[in-house]
Amino acid sequence: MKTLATIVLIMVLNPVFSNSDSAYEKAMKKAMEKLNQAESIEDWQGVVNQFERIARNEKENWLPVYHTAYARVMMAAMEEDIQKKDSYLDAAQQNLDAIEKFEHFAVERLALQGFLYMIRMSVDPSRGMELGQNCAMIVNQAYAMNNQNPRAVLMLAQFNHGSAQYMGQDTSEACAMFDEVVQLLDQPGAEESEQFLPNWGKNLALMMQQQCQK
Amino acid sequence: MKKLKTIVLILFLFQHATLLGQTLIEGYVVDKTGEPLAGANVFIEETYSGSSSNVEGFFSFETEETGEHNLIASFIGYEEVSIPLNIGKDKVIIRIEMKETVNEIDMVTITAGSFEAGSINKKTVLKELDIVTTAGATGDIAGVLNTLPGTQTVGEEGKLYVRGGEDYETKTFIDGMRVVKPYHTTVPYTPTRNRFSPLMFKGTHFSTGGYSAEYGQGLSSALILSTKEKADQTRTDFTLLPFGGEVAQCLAAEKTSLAGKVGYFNMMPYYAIVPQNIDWIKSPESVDANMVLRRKTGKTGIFKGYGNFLWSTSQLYRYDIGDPANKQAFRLVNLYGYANSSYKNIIGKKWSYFVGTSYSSSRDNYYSDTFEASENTSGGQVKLTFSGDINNHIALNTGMDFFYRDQILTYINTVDEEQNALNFNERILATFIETDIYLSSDLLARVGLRSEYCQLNRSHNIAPRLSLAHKMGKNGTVSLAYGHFQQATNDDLLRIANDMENERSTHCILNYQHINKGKTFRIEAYHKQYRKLVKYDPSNMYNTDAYNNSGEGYAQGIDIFWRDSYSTIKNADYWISYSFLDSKRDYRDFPEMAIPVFASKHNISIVYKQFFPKLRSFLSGTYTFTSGRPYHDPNSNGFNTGRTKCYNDLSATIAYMATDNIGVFFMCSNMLGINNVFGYEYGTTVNEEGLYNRRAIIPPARRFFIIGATITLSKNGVMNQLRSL
Repeated sequence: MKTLATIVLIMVLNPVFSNSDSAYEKAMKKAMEKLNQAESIEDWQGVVNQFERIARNEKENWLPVYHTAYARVMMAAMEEDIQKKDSYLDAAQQNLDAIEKFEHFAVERLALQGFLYMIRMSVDPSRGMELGQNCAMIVNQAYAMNNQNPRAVLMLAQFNHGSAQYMGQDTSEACAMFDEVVQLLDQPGAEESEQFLPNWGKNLALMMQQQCQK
Repeated sequence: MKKLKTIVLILFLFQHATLLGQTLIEGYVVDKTGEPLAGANVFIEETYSGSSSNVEGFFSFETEETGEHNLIASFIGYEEVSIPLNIGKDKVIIRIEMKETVNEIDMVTITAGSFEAGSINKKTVLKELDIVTTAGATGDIAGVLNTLPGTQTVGEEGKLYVRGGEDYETKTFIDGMRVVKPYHTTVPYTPTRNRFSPLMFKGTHFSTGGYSAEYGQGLSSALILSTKEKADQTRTDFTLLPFGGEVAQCLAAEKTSLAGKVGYFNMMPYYAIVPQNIDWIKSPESVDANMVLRRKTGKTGIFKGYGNFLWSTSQLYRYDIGDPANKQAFRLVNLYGYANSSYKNIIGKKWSYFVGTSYSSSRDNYYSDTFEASENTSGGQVKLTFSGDINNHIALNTGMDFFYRDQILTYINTVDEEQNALNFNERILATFIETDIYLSSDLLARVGLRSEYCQLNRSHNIAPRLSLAHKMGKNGTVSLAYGHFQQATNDDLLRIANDMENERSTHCILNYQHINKGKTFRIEAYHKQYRKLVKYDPSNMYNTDAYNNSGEGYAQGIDIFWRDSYSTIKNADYWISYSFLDSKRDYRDFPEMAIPVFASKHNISIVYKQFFPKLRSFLSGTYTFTSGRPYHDPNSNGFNTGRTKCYNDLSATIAYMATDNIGVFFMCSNMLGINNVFGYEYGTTVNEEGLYNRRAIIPPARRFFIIGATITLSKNGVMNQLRSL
């Protein structure tokens, strides 16, 4: 009798607790999972589409739009065709412009903007002259806002490393920063999507660490 | 007991009830030829249910929604599709066809007669920074444009001469507003520069013909400049030169930015060291200032203000050609101010409007032993345009503007105190309409019409313009332009004969352009026909009755351009341009059709730029060649039959970043020290042998050197300042 009552109680209460995720949270969870596992351009396109669907229904939320922009930048980074690359970056730029009004997490937006500029410059060296200044300004701004944010540190390091290499200067300072990024991202809880905040950067930092060791 | 078991069973079923009531929606996404589209986003509007199409265009997802909903498919480069569904329990299978939209990056653009220095990802021949980084240009916009095909080098003037046209046949516009007197006034045969600092502009559109119906009064070409829209950061720049310096300050805030520049120049120390061919009594001295203000209003509005001010003075001796001992002191003082303001905003989603005003005032005073003259010009303009998309394939631009210009020249003969005045008051009311019709992503037709009512000669002039562009393959474009152009004749004649009809030209241009990975190839053929050019009887120059519109002319030729921005030699960028011009005209005091003195048959420019990132320096060189120019020799038969020797000039600039904030540069023109001759002037009386003496028109000095430094101070320490060198 008692056992049966307990079972009933559990079964009645279960739905209350387990299905507590709203549709938004369910969708974001799925999308963030896909994001963390994306490898090919097709995977990233799927991530873009998922976040776009969510973004359409969440006009006052910067997160889905941010992740759409990030996924597009990743697609551009992997794409070889210049016109497609630029079109993904244009769409990503539109996303970033749309969340400019959300000042709360400006550091994340600026870091991603810096990343976007760097992918643009990688297409054609002559773009460096046009965009270099803007990029420098933005990555420094992000770092000044929060020098413990792994992505802000990563983008400043990436930019400094690239400039130093281009001018034939010493890259050790920038390389030390990549170590710092890995440390920041290794901290417990840093990689878990806390409330779906941006969590990327580990792969790029590890790749740059390897480059530094050469 | 049994009751409890029933309750448990029911609860169990309810818990899993959510698994029922899912409908499967699947299908294919294809383009209009039936080819699958991979990566399209297919979803139910206002829900999170959806999925992406795979490599075969196939998509599949489940949804809990029921009833009437729209199924949306979206994909970059294609028009969004919305399909109404009524979702029940049955599986939905659907085939979605998507139509291409005009892709902004990939779309075809009109290339005939048009050089655009555009933003990074657009396929343009020039980049915005080219204006600043080209040698021999000393930061002068006209200097760079002179290295493009379609321009003739007229070194003694320093202005833009386009495809056999006079300098006044090119009109300059800033932010859509016409600029009255875009060049500094200088003493005769000393080259001028135009007034604008290239760093204030983001967009430069140089047309060598066939330009948009939005602009008029330029028989040959239009130089269309746009000031920067995005604010720069707060910074201070100092530029130090051996003959003066400039301070530029830029203040940038979130919604507003103000950039200003003040400069003082005095050539005296420089002329004391480097000998000149001109005998200066007072070396040119000038103060100039310009300013750009930008302010964002509301969500989408932009207000821009631009202002430019100049004061300059100089004095020299002019020697009589017949009798070199006879010299006259000649002094020039000028004062110039120009201001424009413009406001742009969006209406709805697809339309925008523009309102602009401008005003300028200029006063040039000339003094000599025998006369004093003063030329005062003032003018202004009000302009309104509407532009937008009628649908995905048709864009419209229309507007009207009112332009006025008053000029008065007073001339006092100080010997006999006789005074004369000549003037004109020009009023022009213009309207224009232009549509861009994208017949597909690869085929564009631009049709325009400009109508001008000129009050001075009470004429109503209608000018049609037509351009077509067709994309060939991924990287090539063929383009055709045809149009009618007209303008009032040059000021010096307009003053005497106010009622002359407008001079006219018809352009016909055919162009092929191919851009891929930084390599640009461009070839263009053109034919210009001139009519109604103003002519007068030289023996009766100051009598209105001696003027008529019987002049005519033609200009035709081929221009070729090749550029390699980065692919072949590392960190190098070079371009070569060649122009062939065949032109003759009968205008002003010409006795017959002849080649005018500013037209040369062959013009070649080679520009080479090299970056040395490890040395933090930048080298650029420009070589210019012009074949012999005509001049009139009164000692021989015929008109304009003389030919100068060819013109050659090799100039170079070296720039070096000493620290992150300080840059040094060195520039030298005519490094080979060639004695170039632009033409000849002849005396008015014969000498003992019955011949007219002559004097060569030559550059003010064999070479021009500049050594200077720029210092930048800004909030943000890290600055790549090579950009402004």
